[in-house]
Amino acid sequence: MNYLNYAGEAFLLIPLSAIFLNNICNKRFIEKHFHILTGAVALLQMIAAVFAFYIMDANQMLNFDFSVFGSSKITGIELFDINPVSLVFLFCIGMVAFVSVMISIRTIDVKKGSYVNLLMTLLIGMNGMVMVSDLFSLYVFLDVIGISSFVMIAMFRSRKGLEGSIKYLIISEIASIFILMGLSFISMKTGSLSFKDIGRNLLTNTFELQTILIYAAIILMIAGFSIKAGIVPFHSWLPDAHQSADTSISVLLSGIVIKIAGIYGIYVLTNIFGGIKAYQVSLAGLGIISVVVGALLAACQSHFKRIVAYSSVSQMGYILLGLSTGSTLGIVGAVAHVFSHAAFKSTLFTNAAAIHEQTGTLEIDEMGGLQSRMPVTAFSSTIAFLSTAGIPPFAGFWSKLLIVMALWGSGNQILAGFALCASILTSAYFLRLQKKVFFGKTPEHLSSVTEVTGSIKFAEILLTAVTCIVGVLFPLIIIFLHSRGLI
Amino acid sequence: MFNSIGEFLCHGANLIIFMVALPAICGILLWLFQKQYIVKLVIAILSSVTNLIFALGLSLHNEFFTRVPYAPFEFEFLFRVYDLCALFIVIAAVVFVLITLYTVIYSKKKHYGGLYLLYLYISFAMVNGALLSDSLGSMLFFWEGLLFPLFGILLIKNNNNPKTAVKTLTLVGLSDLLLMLGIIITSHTAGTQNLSEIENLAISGNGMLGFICIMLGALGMSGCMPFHSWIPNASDDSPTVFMVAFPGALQVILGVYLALRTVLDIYGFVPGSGISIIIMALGSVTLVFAAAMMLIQNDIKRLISYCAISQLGFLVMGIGSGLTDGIVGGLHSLIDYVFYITGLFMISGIIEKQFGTKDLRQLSGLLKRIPATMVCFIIFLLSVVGFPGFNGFLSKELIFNASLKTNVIFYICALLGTFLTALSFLRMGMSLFFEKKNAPSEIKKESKSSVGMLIPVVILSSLCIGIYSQNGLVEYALGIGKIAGVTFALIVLFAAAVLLAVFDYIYGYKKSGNALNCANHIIYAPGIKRVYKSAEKGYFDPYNWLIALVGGFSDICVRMEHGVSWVYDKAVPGMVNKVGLALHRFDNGRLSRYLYLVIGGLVFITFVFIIIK
Amino acid sequence: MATIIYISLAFLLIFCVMAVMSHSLLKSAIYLALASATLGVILYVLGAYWAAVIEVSVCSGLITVIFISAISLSKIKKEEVQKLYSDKKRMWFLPVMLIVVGVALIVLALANDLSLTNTAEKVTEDFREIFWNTRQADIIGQIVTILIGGIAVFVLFRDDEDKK
Repeated sequence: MNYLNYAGEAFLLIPLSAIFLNNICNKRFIEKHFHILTGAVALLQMIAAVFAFYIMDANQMLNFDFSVFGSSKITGIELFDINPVSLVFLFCIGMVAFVSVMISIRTIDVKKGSYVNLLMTLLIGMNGMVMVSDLFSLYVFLDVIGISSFVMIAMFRSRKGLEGSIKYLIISEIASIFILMGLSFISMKTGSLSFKDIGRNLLTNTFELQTILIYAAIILMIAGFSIKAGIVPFHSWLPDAHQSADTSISVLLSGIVIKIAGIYGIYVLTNIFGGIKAYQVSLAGLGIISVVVGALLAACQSHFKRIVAYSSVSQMGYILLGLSTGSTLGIVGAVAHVFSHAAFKSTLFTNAAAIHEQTGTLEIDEMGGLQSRMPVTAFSSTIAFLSTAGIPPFAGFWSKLLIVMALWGSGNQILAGFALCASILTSAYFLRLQKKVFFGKTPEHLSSVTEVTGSIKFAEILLTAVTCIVGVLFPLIIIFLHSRGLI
Repeated sequence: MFNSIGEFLCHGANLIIFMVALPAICGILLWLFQKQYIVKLVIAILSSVTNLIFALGLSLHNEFFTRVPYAPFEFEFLFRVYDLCALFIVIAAVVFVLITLYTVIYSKKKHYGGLYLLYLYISFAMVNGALLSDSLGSMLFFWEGLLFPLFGILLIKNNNNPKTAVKTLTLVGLSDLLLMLGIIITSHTAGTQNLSEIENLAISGNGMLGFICIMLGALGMSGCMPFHSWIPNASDDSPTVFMVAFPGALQVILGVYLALRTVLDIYGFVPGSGISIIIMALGSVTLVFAAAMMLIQNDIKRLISYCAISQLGFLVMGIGSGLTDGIVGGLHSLIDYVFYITGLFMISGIIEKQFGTKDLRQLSGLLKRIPATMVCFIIFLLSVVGFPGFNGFLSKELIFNASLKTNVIFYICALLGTFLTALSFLRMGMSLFFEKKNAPSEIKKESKSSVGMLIPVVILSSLCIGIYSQNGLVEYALGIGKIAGVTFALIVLFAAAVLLAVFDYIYGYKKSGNALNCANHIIYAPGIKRVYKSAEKGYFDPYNWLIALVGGFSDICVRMEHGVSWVYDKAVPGMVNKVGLALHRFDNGRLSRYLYLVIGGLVFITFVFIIIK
Repeated sequence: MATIIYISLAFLLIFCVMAVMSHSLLKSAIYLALASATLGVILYVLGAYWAAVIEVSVCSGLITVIFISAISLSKIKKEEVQKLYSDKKRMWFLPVMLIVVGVALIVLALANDLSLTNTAEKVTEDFREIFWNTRQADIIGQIVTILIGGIAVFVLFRDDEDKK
């Protein structure tokens, strides 16, 4: 138990100490070695998550409560708790943060100290969000994530960056307002917002006004978290934010922030309200609309990162579909898709960074024939695309399969069919992207382009390996889950 | 002597070696020696005479069977030599001697001579094999084997315009396919492939299908309708020697042989039954149509081709009647046909070679120039019409008998055919033999008429003379006793038809002043003129129908393909693009738009909740 | 009690709308101060004394002071800002709609005699205990938020020496 305690505390304290370290060290030193610091933090997070998962599984524990600065003995209330799902999320956070650091080595040239600071605060925010056991704390950490990601987008003060970040800020604040309203309506009934107190019998013993208020709360919270997750029709901020931010920050945004801020929130809601039919239907509706509209919008973009951003919108729809089924299989599928989406989306953004580094542009109409010149990038891009489209044996295939199976099993066969057909749309826009960027004729101004080197290449290879290995070994994971009685 | 030869042949594989392989080897030899004329001549004469001797030996021997194992999979050739088969072998051998002689002499200077002789001999070997075989499978093997030399010959002259070759192959191939189908059905129904074991299958159900297929296949090979249209085309495009050998002799022998076997042995053919009427109708249509087409031809070879088709129709009528008279008449008719059609083609070849043209309008006064040839010509023509004193008379009368007994309509058709044939022969003959008023005065006499080419013609024509000449042979072959004689009344009617033709000719001649235009009053009669025009254009040609059908079918397929690719290439991506662009334009980058969307989403979720709750 | 709450809510709404829509930065800051003061009143009436105090002192007082000093220190002239916005059309229907909706809701609440039953019981503990024990997670979050604020100011508003 001590190990778990240390692990849990580590998730919050290590980034804090990293901030501390960053600010007391010499500026030049940080400029040269910032990646070591941040990379170490991310790696530690990943290791701690795996470690904790292993221990929890070995001891057959389902969750573990702890408090930082250990004062649980006084009030008997545990403030944080980790369970296997949150450990998966924590691992994803670490992985994407690691990739972001890899990219930032090459793409960020100034303000590296501030980047470290902001990344660490973001990490604290995200770690905190998946570990709290209280809705209001969830809201607080949500705000942390919101503000730090806003600052990260606006960090370099380009005209487009500021515009994108202001849009993101306003819409994100609206989301926070919605969530807060929902929270307050719920607390009017129960008086406390802790998960234990809310439970599933929120709707019993209510009179009419309260029932309406509870439903209003659910609606508002769904809307709020959907805004954060980038679900259609709340998605409009996503492409602008992604396009205007630096690539290492886009990775964070798309790879993990929208998932933690949005999807994890909806996961929490599903745990509480998942049995309500209207809830499931609205989630399913939002999900399928996201899948289709995201794919359609991605098909006619001309900026690499915008296409990838809309692809995120589409994939969030899939996760929502998985969560809407209300069955364990659906939740497992959704969490698996969170992981595989983190992997392949990070790959795509790494490729974007590589292309931007080497060619200086991200407009796909200006590119072509890069496959012969940047083979590693092309290969990892192809693997990522195949994983997105749900083609075996990559990780994306398995998670999509679980989601579709969950949909089918819960009676939504039509939706399952739609989700499968949308895979064709996914392939369509990605094929277009691949063709325009990597295949075809090379324009003259790109004839001297060479393969990207260094950390970005390393990140690409690493992520591709992760996608392939997880994909190939996924049946083992399924066996494991089956033995634990989840599937 | 013949007996011993026959004895010799029926041992082991001797039959196949000497009757089938030997001609093929001689063909190869001839091809190798294609430049040496004398050598070719000697080999040709030797090989064909040897073949004749073998054939005679076989025919005089008793009936026997052999089997020759061919391949390790129990595929073997079954041969049976008996009366009918022997008769056909002998006929084929006789005519082959004459054909080879003619061919060698005709193709003396032609460059394709060697290759052509090779193909000819191979075809003859195949014919021999088919005639001798006892099982349907081996017959089919040899039958199909005939197709390849046929195609090869057609391609010799026209390598870059193989239209005729394609047409021939299509039509003959189609008839072969029908034959295959018929053979499969027959052997399936009978349970065995051996012809000697199949007796009198019933013509009903499967049997009907099998019978029709075999008959169509066999007769189609010979050139009966609807597989006839390649013969006139071939007469334009292919060498004369081809016309002499194939449509004139070999194909007809083979086709009629199988038709006879089918009618006599394999199926129980009832005279006057529905199927018999159908076959007779087929024959009579062929007869009348081809004879009518004869009337407007200006090209000698085309005219003779149509004559051949028409006489084949006559023959089919005879066989189709199923009566003894008809069958005997048909077999007689076959023997006559082989002789006179081959002879007619040979003569047309001689004329073309000597005068450089085969157009009736340019040839005239030949009686004075090549008298001997022309005398033979006259003999052939009279034989075709069926004049008493020539061999065609008996066969025609027997067939008239049979057709009258079946139905009077068929008899009228036969008379009509005779009338038209006579008229067109009068037209052709008169314009060829005598000087025309406005013909070109000088016809080039390009080469001396070769005596050698004349010899086979003379022999053939002599074979055409003589009444009751093959009487004994046919009846013996068919195992029939005495046949009924010819009816006097029919002879009168026949004479009347011929006289009518003569009067019509004189009338036409007087009217138009020209031998060639003597039939114009018939041709240009209203209604008939249209029919002739469309016939010449090829509207009645089943091959053209087939091509149009195939063209139409492939057109449909192309359209379907376009439709499917339109869906995949244009419709779906276009729709996706349009929708995507519309959605894209909806997002104008302004915050206010985003906020409206947010409100809209909220309203949507509320809506869902209201509806479900 | 309810009357005061409803009137304060109405004022709150009006002040917020005017804060957002006014053309002058200074006036916006002042409206914001007034709005948070009203909010403080509401909080006090609802019984959250500590919250009311902190609200009024921090937001109405401290934040407003910072805003006004920042606006005074900034180099942009107020007149220029006003000119920038004076020729833009006002969307007047939005605030009108808000006000109308607000008034309607108030009338609705009065008509249905909504009572605020089933609220949580009043908190009687010392707020220090609340802060540190029961709401420790929030405190950590708040600390980090303040940290981010500082970093943000540093990143967004400080001129870099590298920029030439």
